Amino acid sequence: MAPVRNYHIDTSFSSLPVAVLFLNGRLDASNCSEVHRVFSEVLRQSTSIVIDCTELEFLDSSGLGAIVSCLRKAIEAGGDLRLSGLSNNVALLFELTKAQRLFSIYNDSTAAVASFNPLKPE
Amino acid sequence: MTAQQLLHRSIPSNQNKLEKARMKTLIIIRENAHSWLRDTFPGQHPLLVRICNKSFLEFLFDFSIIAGAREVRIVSDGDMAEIRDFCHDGGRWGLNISYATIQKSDTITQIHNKNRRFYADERIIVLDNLLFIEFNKNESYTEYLASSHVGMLLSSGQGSVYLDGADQQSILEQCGSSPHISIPELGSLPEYFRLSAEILRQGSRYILPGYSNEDGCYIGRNVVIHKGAEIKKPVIIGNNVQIMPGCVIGPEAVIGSTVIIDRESLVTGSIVMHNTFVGEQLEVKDKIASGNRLMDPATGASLQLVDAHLLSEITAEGAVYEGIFRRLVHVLAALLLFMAQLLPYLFLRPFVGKPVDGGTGHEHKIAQLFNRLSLDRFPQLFRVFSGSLRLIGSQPAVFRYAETEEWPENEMDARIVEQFCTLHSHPFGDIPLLLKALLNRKESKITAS
Repeated sequence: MAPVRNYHIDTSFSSLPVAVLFLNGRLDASNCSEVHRVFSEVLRQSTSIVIDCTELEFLDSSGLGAIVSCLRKAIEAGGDLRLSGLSNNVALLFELTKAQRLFSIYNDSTAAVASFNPLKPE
Repeated sequence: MTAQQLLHRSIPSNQNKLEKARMKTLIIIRENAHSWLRDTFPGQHPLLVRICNKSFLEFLFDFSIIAGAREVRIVSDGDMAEIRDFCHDGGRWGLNISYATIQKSDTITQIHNKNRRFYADERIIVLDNLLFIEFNKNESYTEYLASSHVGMLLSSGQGSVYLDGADQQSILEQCGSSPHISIPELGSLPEYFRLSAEILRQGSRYILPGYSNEDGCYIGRNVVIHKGAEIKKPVIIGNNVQIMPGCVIGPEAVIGSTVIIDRESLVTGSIVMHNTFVGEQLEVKDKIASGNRLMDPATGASLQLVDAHLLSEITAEGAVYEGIFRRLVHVLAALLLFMAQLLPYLFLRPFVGKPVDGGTGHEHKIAQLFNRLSLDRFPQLFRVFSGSLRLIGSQPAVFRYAETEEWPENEMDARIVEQFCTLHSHPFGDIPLLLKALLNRKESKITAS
């Protein structure tokens, strides 16, 4: 199963389109190249990106490395990458590796998208 | 101080009467009870699961000793092989342990009747289906239990404690104050976690394993705490443990036996079960790590990690055999590669390595061909024969796992591929990976060491 289900550009804030990328199933070394590829494509359209992990069941260190690499690319492009909907199991890996300190993590993608609203202070 | 010594200290003035009023213990184990422990810590009998580095059964033995019992009978309606292997005759606790089986359908009266000869005319304390009993080793139980009336002492959903056998009220005067004794709630992982922290905090009430020069700090045998590691009380560390530089262990950390905590990792408010490796720069906070499994008692989440460099089970035998087998496969593959590359190497080598400026376009093409055929790695094959280098693997190796993929753009990407392949590789699986690396030489952006 491809780790990236789909993505869309949220235009709630006309001045700042936010891309929302949905992950599902398992994300590990065997399929993280797919995330790299899709993320590069998304980054060309928006530098404000949310990765929705609601349907992500399993993540290993390679998958985590891929997400951190995406964050690096987003920051280098002058934007940010925020996460939403981490399941308890996926959150465990973020806590263990201290990766949760690198990301802004929200309960759902709506909250994550809203956090990019330039008119609303976080 | 051992439980035996404590018992001698606690024997009061009517010692002669107590010696006559000997106590025995009957431990009843029901196979289907405590199934949550079998699910949480598979492969172990529930009574042998450790809490604060000591099995539940040993805590029951401690209570028996403090209660004045020297003879213990363990009865079960299931397989007792594991229990027998662990306890033998009970000599190491100063106990005389015997075993008996019961039927699943047996009532408590039938169990008593079947063990009537063990009772004889003596007082008996029955620990029915219990995992743990709260007590205080500093209080006196012997006289209290010997002088109490026969009947139920404590009962809860977690099991019960009652007295049976001869009623010795006639020979002993009723003891004034009753010592602390209770059955804790223990039916789920959060309750196990809470009880473990409580035992550690109240360490002076129990007999915990390890050396203890100060309250709240119990250290086992063969524990290496490297310079720069910090240990914060209360903490208990098992036997054969390595704590690497920069680690912070505690407060309220339980580290089992045969554990390695790698550099700069933090373990606080957590339990690391025996035979567990915790990788570098990790944070285990309010969790239970058991082998490659990480559990969060607060949320009930449980994650089976596939990354051996993060969290893994420490095993010995399998790794040794696989290592020998892998080396054999690598040497044979290197021999085939050696035969295939020998003539091209001898033929092309004289034309390679000349200064580029002075060279012609023809020489440059030869150099390209030389690399594309992986002849630049040819001299390293001798190191595979000598056993000092793997043919393919994580760095250092003749060919890196990272060279099997086209996508890695930098060293971090390369390490991701290597970690995945290291975990999922098999000695025979290295052969197709080698062919992939050989065919991928044209595209490879990663260099071998």
